[in-house]
Amino acid sequence: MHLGTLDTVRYGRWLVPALAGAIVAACLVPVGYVLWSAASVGPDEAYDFLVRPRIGELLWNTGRLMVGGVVLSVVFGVCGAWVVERTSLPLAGWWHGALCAPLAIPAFVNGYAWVATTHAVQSYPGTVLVVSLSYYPLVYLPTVAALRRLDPSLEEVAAALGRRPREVFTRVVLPALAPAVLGGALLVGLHLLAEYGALQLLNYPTLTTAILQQYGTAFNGPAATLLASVLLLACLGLLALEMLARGPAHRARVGSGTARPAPRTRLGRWTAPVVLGLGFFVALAVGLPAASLVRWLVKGASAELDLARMLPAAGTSIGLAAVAGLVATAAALPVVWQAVRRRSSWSLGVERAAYTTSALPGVVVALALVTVAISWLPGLYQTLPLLVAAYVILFLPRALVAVRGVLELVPPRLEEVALTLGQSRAGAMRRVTLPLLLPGLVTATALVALAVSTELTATLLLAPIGTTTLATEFWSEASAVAYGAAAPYALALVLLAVPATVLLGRSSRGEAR
Amino acid sequence: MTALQVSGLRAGHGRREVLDGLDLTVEDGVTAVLGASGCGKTTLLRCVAGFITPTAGEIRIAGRSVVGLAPRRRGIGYVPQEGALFPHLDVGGNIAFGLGRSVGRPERQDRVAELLRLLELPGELAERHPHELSGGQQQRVAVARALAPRPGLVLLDEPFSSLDAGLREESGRAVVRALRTAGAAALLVTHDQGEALSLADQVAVMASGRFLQVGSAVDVYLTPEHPGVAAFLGSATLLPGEAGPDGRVDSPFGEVALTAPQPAGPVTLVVRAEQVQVSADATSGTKGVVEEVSFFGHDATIRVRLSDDVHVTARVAGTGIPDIGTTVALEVVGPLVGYAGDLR
Repeated sequence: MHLGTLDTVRYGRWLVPALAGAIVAACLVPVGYVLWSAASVGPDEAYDFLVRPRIGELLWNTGRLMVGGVVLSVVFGVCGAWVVERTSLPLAGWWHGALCAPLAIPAFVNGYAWVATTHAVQSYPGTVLVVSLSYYPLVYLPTVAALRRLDPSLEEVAAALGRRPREVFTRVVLPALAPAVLGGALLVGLHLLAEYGALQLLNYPTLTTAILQQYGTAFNGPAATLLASVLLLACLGLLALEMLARGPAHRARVGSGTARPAPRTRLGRWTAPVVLGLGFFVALAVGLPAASLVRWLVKGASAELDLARMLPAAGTSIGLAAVAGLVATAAALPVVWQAVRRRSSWSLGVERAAYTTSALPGVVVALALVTVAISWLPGLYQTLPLLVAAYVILFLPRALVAVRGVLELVPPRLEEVALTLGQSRAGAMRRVTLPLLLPGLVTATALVALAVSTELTATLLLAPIGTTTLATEFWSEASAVAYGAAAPYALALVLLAVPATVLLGRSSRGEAR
Repeated sequence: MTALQVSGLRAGHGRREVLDGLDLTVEDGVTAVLGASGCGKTTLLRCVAGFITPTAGEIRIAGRSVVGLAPRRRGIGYVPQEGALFPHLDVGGNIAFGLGRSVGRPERQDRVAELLRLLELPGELAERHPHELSGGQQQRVAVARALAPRPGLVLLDEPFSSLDAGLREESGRAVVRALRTAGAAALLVTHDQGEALSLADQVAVMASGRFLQVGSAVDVYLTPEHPGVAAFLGSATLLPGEAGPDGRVDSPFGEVALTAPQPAGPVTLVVRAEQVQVSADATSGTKGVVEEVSFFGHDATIRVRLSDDVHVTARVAGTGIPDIGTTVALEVVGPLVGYAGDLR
C-alpha cells in the first residue's frame, strides 16, 4: 500500500509547489509574450502582413518539408529498428551504434558537410534527405526501446492463435510500437519547425529562417514577432495532431511479463542485401559527413588553425554549458519532486507544461526573451544571464527526464526508515535521498550542458556582441562559405555531442543503469 | 512497562475514515495485527510510527504520549515491506545508520557484529551491498538496522510477505528470537494467518478499521468471539442450527454440543475442517456427496454437499481421499462454537 506520500515527508508544504509553479511559469513567459504581442498588433495590420505571397510561400515550404522529412525519418527509423532488434542481422550491436551516430552530428554541421560536398542538395528532395538523415534517430531510438520492452509472449500468443508472422507484425507489434513512433515523429516535426542552421545552408527558406532574416536585416520587431506567432501556432497544431492520433487508447502493459529476448526473424539469403543496404545508408548518414569534414580539415589546415580565436570560443561554450546545465538541473528538482511525490492533477499539469516548452523553437524563445528584456528589463538585454535563461527554458525537459528517472527509484519508504532512525527531514534528505539522486543529477547536468554546447539558433540571437562560442564561430565561417575555416569548429561540435549520443544509444537498449 | 497503548484511535485519508476507534495494548512480546488487505492495518502501523497524524485518539509508547511527536523522537524501530535497505550503503552502513554521532568507529563495528550475530547472519555480510543479499537476508538486515538504536518497540509491516513459503517460516522464527533477546516488543502487521498464529503472543484480528477480537493465538482460533474471526482463521464452514429451550442444539449433523450455551432460537455454528470426520462406510452418521477435492500432499480438504444449500468442508489424511461423486458419512468431533441468530 502506498499511503506514504500523503502525510509523510513534508519538505516545506508550500515551498516546493510554489517553486515548481514559479519555474514552470517562467518557462511559459516566452509563449505568453509572443501570443500577447501578436494579439496586440491589430487585426488589419496582421492580416495585411500575413496574406502577402511571401508568407504563403514560406508556409508551403515549411509544410512540405515537414511532411517529407517526417515520413522519411519514420521509414528510416522504424526499418532500422526492426532490422537491428528483430532479425538475425550479424553484429547487431555494432549496427545499433552506427545508426545512433548521426545524433552526434548537429543538423547544421550535417548540412554544412553535405553542401560543402555537393550543391545538388540545395533543392527540396535534397533538403528532405539531409534533414531526415540528421533526425531519423529521434524515431529510431524510441522504436528500439519499445521493441525491447514489448513482451514477446504477446507475439507468441498471436502466433498460437494461428496468425502468420506478417499478421503478427502488423496486428500486434505495430500497434504496440505506434506510441513510440508517433512520439518520435512529433519530435522530428518540432525539430524541423525550429531548424535554422541546416536549412539556411541548404538554401531552403522556412518560417524559422525567415524570422532570423527579418531580425538580422531589418531588426523588424513586429514582423518577426508575427512570424514567430505563426510558427508557435504550427507547433501547437503539431502537438494537437499528435494527441489526436494517439487517441484515448490505453497501451499499458498488463502484468510484468517475462524478461526473455524476443524472437528474431531469420534473414537467410536476404542477409547480404540487408547488410549492403544498411551499409549504404550508414555511409550516407555518417560516412559522407565524416569524409567531408576530414577533407575540409585537411584543406583548411593550410590556412592554419587560429587557436587564439578558437580557445576563447571553446572556453565560453564550455562555461555557458556548465552553468546552464547546473541551473536547469536545480530548476528540475522541485518540478519533478512535486510531480513524483505528490501526485495530483495540478502537479502533473505543471510537469506537462514544463515539457511543452521543449516544443518551442529556439528562435521563438530567444525572440520573446529579447523583446521582454528590451521592454521591461533593459539591463538584461545583451547579457549572458539572458542567454542562460533561454537555454534553461529550451532544455529543461532533458533535465526533468533524467531527474525523474532516479527519483522514481527512491521510494519514500527509505526516507521514512531514516526518520525512525533518528534523522530529521533535512538529515534524511542529506544522508539518503541526495546520495541516491546524485547519478541522475549528474546525468541531467551533462545532458543539458551537451545540448547547450551545440545549440546555434538561440545563441546567434542572444549572445552578447563580442561573445563567441564554438557554434557562433562555426556559423560565421560556414555561412560565409569558408568551409575550410569552419571545419575545426565543426569537428569540435561533433566531439561535444558524442557523449550524449553514447548515453542515449545505451539507454534505448536498456544497457545504462 | 506497557510498550504500546493505543486508545480510541481514528485516522483517515481525506474524508475517508480508515481507522474507526481502535484500542490495543502491547505489553511485551509480539503482537500481530491480522487482516485482509485494505482493512486499515498498515494505517495503524503508520500512525504509531508517526507518518500519519490521527484525527482522534491517543498513542502511548513506553508510557509517553507521542501524538504530534516526530518519528525520530518516538524510540521505535521500523521494518517496511521488502526491507527497504539503503541501496547506497553496505550492510554495516545500513545497520549503523541509526547510531548517533557520539558512537565511535570501534563501537559501531562491535554493534554491527553483535546484531548480525543476533539475527543469525554471518559476520562477513557487513561489507556486502543490499543487492548482493538474498530476500531473506535483506529482511533480517532490515530488522538488525531497526534494532541497532535499542528501541523498545519495533514495527514490522508485512515483513515476510515477499519471501517464499519455506524461507518465510524460518525467517519469522529467527526474527522473533532476535526481538526477544533484544527485549523489544513488536507490532507485526500481516495478512497471513499462519504467520500471525505461529509467531505472535497476541493476535488482533482486524476488519474495516476495527478489531474483531484481540487475544492469544489459541483463544482467537479456538474461541472466536465473532463469526468473522472464525471464518477468517483456518478453514471453517458456518452452518445453521437451532437451539431448543432445554439447551440441546440441532444441526445438519444431528444433535451437537456447543462450547458455550446459547439462548433458544436459531444459531450459527462454526465447523472447522479438522472437526469433521469422514468415513467411506456410509452406514452411520450424516450422509453427503463429495463435490470437490483439493489435494495438498500430506492432507486434502474435501467439499461435501449435505443438502441443496448446505455444504461443509472437511480435512482428510492424504492416504484416504474419497472420489468425487461418492457418498460418505460425516461426524463432528468435539464441541462447536455457536452464535445466537442466523449470521451466515
